[in-house]
Amino acid sequence: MTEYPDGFALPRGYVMFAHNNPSIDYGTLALCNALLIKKNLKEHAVALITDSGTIGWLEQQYTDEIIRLAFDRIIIDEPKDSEAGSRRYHDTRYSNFVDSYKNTNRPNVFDISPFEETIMIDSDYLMLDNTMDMVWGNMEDFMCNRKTADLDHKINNFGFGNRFNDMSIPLYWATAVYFRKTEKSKLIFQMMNFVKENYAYYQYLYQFSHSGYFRNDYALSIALHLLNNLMEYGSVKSLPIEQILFSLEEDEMHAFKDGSCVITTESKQGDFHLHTVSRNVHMMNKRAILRHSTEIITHAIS
Amino acid sequence: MDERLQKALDFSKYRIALFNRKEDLKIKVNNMLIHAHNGGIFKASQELISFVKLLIDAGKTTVVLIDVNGNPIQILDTQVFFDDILSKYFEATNYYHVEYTKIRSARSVNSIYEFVND
Repeated sequence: MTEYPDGFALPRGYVMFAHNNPSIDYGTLALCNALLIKKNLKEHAVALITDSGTIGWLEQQYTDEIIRLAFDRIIIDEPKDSEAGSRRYHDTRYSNFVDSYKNTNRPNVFDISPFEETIMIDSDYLMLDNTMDMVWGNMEDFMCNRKTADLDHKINNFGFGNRFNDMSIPLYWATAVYFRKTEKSKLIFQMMNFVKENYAYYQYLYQFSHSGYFRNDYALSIALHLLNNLMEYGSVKSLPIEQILFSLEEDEMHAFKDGSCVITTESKQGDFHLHTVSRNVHMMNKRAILRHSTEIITHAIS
Repeated sequence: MDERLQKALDFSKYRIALFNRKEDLKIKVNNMLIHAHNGGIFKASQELISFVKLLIDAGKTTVVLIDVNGNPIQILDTQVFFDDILSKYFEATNYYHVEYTKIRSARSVNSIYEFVND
């Protein structure tokens, strides 16, 4: 466990990881989301876990005042180059690109988090409402979601009813994870790290297709399955809002207005549906968020 | 395009938009009914409200209730808990009523989105 100086650790807060690649400014995503947390939630301490390159870029882009407003703690944890993978990103259904993915140090969050109670969220899981305030002080040591839905209310976007394949284990999402620093949580994250170190073996054992990069969701799901004595249910409960709302990479954000995202989905080419979203939403088209980062920041600090 | 087909397609878009907004609204209202208390998570349902009222009427001040995760949660003051869940219930259902009325009166895709945030 990382030993922080006196006064550094805090009782409750959010942790986000941000490691920029040449195409995606994860630092700005985290900054936008941190400011939304400050705006919308009562408990709003935020720790950013990042690398020196990302924080350097963030300091060039934003004033010290904005960065201090967004983040209560900034922790440098350089990801290992050897662990980085590459993945294809989509920016609507008309554009895609391949770039590196360095977000592999999440299983270390138990050691790194400066909070006694932590909610670890993706930097693109935009906190637009106050429902996360209900999580704190829960009896459960560890919570994460299994259910998802997209903006068009489809609940099986990733196939197999949110399983690795039609005969495999349930898929849990690492998009939002609550944990308290207890033995149970520690074991889960240690197991995630073990899965990460033996990823090829577990890929073969659990029969999932390798995406070309380390998937935190997969490592979490396998860790939970192993720690649940290879049984399917019972070990981990859902967060109070049990369904994660997804906006897929094919979607486009047109505006950020009055704390809501105006998004069009396009599940089939030309078949557009407009949505105004004011609930927490996992906006998987990261560049769409970045195109509206100024509006988000302006709203959040107003 | 044939005028009849165009009208049918427009109506179809309207129906989908209407469905999406209604579903969004249901989820939002459902989320508004969630209540956290003493480490437990409850849904401010009509059933829970009635049961807690029954406990109060029976003179029970401190009770244990089972939350949505199946955990036993001690309620130290049933009256405070009752007031909280009743307040949540009214807040959510009033919101539902107001927004639902707006959606029902909308007669085009544009007007559906003009009024409602999910």
